[in-house]
Amino acid sequence: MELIAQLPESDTWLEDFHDGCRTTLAGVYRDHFATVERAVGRVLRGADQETVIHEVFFRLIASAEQRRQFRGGSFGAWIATVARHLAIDHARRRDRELPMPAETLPERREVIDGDAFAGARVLIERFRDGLPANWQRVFDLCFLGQLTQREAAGMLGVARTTLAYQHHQIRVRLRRFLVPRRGAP
Amino acid sequence: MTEPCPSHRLVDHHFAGAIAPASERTLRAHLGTCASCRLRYERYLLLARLDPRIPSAEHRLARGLGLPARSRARSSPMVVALGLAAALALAIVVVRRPDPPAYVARGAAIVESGQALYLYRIAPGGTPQPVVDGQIGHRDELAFAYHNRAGWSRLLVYAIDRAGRVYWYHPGWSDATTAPVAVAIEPGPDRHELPEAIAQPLPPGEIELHAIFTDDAVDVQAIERGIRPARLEELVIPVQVTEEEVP
Repeated sequence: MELIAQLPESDTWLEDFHDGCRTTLAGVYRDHFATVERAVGRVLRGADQETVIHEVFFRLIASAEQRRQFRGGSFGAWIATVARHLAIDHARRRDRELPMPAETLPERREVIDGDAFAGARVLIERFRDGLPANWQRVFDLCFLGQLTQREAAGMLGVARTTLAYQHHQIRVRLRRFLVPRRGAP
Repeated sequence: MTEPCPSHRLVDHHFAGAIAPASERTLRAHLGTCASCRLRYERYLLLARLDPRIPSAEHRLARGLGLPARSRARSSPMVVALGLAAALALAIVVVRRPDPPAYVARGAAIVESGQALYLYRIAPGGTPQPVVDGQIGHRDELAFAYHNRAGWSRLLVYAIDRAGRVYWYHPGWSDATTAPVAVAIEPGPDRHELPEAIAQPLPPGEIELHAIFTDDAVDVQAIERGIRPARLEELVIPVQVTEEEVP
């Protein structure tokens, strides 16, 4: 099958996009957030990733010149390229990445992911160890496993209201553990 | 350990999905220079992977851009990162700890004797949630749990609105020709649940939820006439009933 470059939905879409039509830009964000997230995520994670995602869309919203750089074709491919370049620039500015060819970036990402992963695991283990024993199962099922309260209550053989209370307690403690109140040490 | 930064409030607002675009720009510039705010941000990201109540990145960033935000559907669960089996294997030795001390939540009243009534709300189509901030929706069902360290044998739970109308939860009272008595309850330090969730046609505004612990088999009509047991322990919880759906 011959691959055909995707065209915008209509000629008016491109015009609306260039004009900065709010509805069109909202649609761009909605339809291409995942694309940008993936593209930036090949280079950066965490707060940096979200900063660059923000920057990609902010530039489209704020700059007509930026928008006019897209003149047709696959918008998804275009915005992914823009995102990736911004991510690389961001990484270099922060002195985390040595200038390196793009094809080596995925290996670097694994290292970054590994460090972040290990740190998160230590924190979660420490939090879980501080819970009462009967709450640890609730934490495992509802927070790590993302089961619904109904599902977890069924598995644990407890009433939903009992589990809801424990779930609430755990959530409060988790938030305080990970993100202390402003002003607290 | 990094020192707290005044800009932590920007991070908090961002993760509440309540940041203005101009503040978001300030936050983004600031994150590049402040280790304390970056750490707070990263901790929130970890929290977001565990607690679906934290808005998704798509939602949060939409708010920061001044764009409409979609629903807060969660991304892949933490289990993808840690592995549920691995997480469950973390605690090799199970250490039995005593129950935590009584937790005073808004929406539950606890007195020094250790008696407590816990209030849960169930919104239409929803799951039981502890009542926080003392607010319930007018269509919510209410469920209750109690601590009974003093060892009373019976309990009554009812609400009174500002007009003095009484709404019975336990015992249930739907037939004016009957006079149900206080329900039997369990003694001891464990938390026990009353079996039913009940909806009452509560008017918007402030109500008082009353829980009377007693040994007397006092009936609902006596309570409404102002006749109270000689020995009792009463808890009163002020609650605000709203016309809007409480999230």
